[in-house]
Amino acid sequence: MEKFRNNKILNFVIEIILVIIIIILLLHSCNIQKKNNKKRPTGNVDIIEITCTDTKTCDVDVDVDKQSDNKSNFNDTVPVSKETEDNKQEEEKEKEPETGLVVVDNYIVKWDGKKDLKIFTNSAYELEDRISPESSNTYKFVIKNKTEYKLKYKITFVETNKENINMKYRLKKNDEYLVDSYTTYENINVEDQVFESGENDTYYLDWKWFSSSNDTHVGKIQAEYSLKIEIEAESINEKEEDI
Amino acid sequence: MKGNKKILLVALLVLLITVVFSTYAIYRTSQTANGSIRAAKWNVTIGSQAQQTANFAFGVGDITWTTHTGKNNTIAPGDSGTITIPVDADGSEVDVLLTATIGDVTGLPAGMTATVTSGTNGVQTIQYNATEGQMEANVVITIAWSGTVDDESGKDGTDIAKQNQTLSIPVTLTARQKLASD
Repeated sequence: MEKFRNNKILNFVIEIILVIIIIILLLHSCNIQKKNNKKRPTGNVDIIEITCTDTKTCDVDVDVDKQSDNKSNFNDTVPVSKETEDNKQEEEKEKEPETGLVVVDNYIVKWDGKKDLKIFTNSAYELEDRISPESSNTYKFVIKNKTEYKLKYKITFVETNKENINMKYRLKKNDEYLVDSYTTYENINVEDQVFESGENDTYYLDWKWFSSSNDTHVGKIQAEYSLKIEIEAESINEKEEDI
Repeated sequence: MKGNKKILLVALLVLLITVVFSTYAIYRTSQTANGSIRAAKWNVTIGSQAQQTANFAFGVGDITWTTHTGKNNTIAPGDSGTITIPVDADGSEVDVLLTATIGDVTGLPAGMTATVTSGTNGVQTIQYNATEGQMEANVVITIAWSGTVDDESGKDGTDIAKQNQTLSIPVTLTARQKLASD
């Protein structure tokens, strides 16, 4: 009889514990949903406004480019055409509020993994999509922390260079060179950079094709070259107040 | 009873996993983009061959005469003419810098000169131009023997000493991309 009573009490305790667990899980689930909803920012967000008439060149004001820069070939004025429907759609996309880890560059290209970056654009010979020995320029990009978290990030550079074009780089973050003398791409990787929610980091990637013995061969076959920039970020686990 | 304990154990495990993973949940994100470019084309032909540097040894037979009094493939005072080296850089997507130098000429009489007269001091530039035929140039070497046929003063013992010698004019022509520093 005593044993039966004890079992009944134990069963009751177990049932209570199970109910508590279910409640905790439900509350946690609600919390996740609440967090997801928070990701849509309201109020002050960076929106690029482009106002111009058809086929004309217009000035585009982008807040990330306010820092003065005397590097060559820097141009915040770009021709904007609204002739095609595709372009209109693209512009609409750019007007969407920015969230997450956002990267933009000085050609008003918001990285989306689809567009080819104009890293190597230069004014030599009026050809923007060619490089030749001694070509050089600076590619500026801005990493924006549009999350609600403090982020730690790293930048990895990977080149595809079958014909060994003698391309060298140096890298500046905001006002300070992280790598101040020209070197190969693998030496400019960046690790453990931290920025708070709402902050921006501006990077200046200086590139230069230094002359070398195989330049003629490279030019004869019109060798291709590409550089991939990968930015990986993760939140630093200091801000979990909701849990 | 045993069944209940098992259920409790599993429930506690689930709770533990949930709490642990949610506590250490990390917001992860990445952005990747690619920039591609290709090398500007280099397409230079010196003479008739695609080459960067060409060495020539021109003789009397290579000269296009403006004035020629020497007979039987010879030269004489007052003679003048040119040697032309065609350079074709059509299709190249860079400016091309040509440098021509004349080496030690053998069989050259006194008063006779061989100089590169195209460009400045043997250097000339072919500017980039996308239009077919607009990146062609000639490197010109001018040979001149001062004096006239009837100018006795132009003929001296030195000239006589050069008789029966073969004239050879070595020329080196180099083509390379013109740089901003040039």
